[in-house]
Amino acid sequence: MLEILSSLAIDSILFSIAGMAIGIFFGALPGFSGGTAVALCLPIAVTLSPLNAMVFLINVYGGSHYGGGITSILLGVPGDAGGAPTVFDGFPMTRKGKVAEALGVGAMGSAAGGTFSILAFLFFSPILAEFALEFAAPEFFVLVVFGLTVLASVDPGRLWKGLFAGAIGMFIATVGLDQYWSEPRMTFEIPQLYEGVPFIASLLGLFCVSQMMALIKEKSLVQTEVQLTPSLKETLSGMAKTLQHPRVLLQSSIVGTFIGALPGAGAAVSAFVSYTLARNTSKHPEKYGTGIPDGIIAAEAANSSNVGGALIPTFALGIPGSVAAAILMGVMMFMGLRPGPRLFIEQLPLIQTIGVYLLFGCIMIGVFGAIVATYFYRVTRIPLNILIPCTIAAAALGAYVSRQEFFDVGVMLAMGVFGYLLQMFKYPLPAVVLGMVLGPIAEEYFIQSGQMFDWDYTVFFTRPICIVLWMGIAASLLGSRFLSKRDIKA
Amino acid sequence: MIPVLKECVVPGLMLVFGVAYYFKTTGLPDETLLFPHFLMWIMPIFVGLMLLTSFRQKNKNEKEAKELSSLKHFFIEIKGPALLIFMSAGYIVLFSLTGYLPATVAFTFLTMILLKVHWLKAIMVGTGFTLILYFVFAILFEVPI
Repeated sequence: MLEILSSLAIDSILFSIAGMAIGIFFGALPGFSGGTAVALCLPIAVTLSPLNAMVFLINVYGGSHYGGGITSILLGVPGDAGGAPTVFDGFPMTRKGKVAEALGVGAMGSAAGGTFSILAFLFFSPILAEFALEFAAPEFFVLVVFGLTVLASVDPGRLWKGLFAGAIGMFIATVGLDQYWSEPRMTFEIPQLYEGVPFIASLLGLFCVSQMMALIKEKSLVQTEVQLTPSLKETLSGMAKTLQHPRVLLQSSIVGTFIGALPGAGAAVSAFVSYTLARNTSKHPEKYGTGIPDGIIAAEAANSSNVGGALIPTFALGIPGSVAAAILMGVMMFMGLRPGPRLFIEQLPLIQTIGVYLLFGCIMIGVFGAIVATYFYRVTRIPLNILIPCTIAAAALGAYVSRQEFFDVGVMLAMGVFGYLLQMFKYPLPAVVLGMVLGPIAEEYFIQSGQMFDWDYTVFFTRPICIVLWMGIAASLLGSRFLSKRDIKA
Repeated sequence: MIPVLKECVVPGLMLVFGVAYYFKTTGLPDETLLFPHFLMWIMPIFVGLMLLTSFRQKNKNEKEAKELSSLKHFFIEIKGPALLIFMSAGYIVLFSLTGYLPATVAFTFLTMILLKVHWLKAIMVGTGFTLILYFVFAILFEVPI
């Protein structure tokens, strides 16, 4: 550990802070998800070293979770689905005039939840990775199918659409030279397509361009006018108050980390389950929803601890625990890193260093989060007619810099149009991205299994670990459906 | 557009893509096509289940269908996005012809003007934003743009 601490570099610390700030900024913009934030930052990330890129992007992802809670507290409008339960007590506190305290509680809750989950990531990932070394190709294939159950959580009300969108993503990923025999599939003899449909350009198209096309009808992101006069003293008092609720803090962090590590359950499920659990186990459940710090802590700690939780299966098994983790995984693969158990043998110091920077990012949220929140919020009032052209220009540049091909910018636009069409007909876009990330991995293990076991497909259902994994898939799907129905009722 | 028909638009597009894929890859080794063909089999199953769900939720979707049924409404809906696609396509062409700096200034300025931003603000924001991106990528990260 001392070695890692001594190797901390100033540039990585700066990227950690910048990532957190950018994440908070985008998270506070209603309509900009964590996925969009990460996608928009890809152009910068691809120019960095793998360490700096991962530190930067994971902090963007973590910051966006906290940012999503800012508008929940200030306006009663969640920046993302995971910020929805924060509204229940955050906005009533604002209306009572306790805006600074609410922001302080939210920041400290997020910081504590995030710290807990990163420690869990550093501790549990190597154990899980060691266990996963026992896996052969069939187990990994079933594990990828397990990862696809994330699709069930993308939009539980539209399960088949989610699965179809995931299959579209996988199908798109089959374009290019196949990985075993190098045969060109659907490349139209375009050299730029031999490596497949460019991932970063597709991501920017699906998340940024299509989002801008959907937002062009709106005048502004935020309609409500709120007068904010938070003081530093009240903010610090709110942060201190959070520590007076250790039970809620710890309980919510454990719930968020655990649910985050399960494919098929995202930040929204964590936050709702944690909020419901905190209310049900409280001595004064009737006070929840009236504007009490416990409600904000329960939602924000679970929401933020989801980040570290989602990283556990992403790094240890190569199976993303959330959609944003899937994007991170795609970027890691783009940079030549292969997430999975072998990464812990080959790149353990890298993972530990990433963990240390992530802890630093969590502390930054605690120290500066609430103080800068109101300023970030003001910046987010940029009119859409300015924000849209600037975002498109940044995305186009991002698509270009990753391979320096104009073809990629065209792909970005085409995927943007396709994404807009999918949005119009209510297909979940993150499912397409997840399919694009997991498709090539699924194909690789599918073919390997076939070659190893003489194309006997029963191998996926007869090996002991496979059976356990299938049971896990069933439990995850059923659990996700149950939890989402319960959240809707709550 | 009736709800079930509406559900067929994206699967229809995928069907075209799938047919093209099938004919374009005919003759490749079986192993190469094993996974894509598996997906080609599984996708119609999902579409069938989607349509079944859509039939069941007919009443729920009626309001939504009504909204999409008017052609006029549809054109109003896509006017803004179509403008953005047109401008973005022009930007890509200009980017490849003139390079990053002039293309981005022109694109941000013209799009903002079309989105009713005051011309002075548009030129200031457009130029400023372009220069910031140029500084970050071309100077800070030394990416040739």
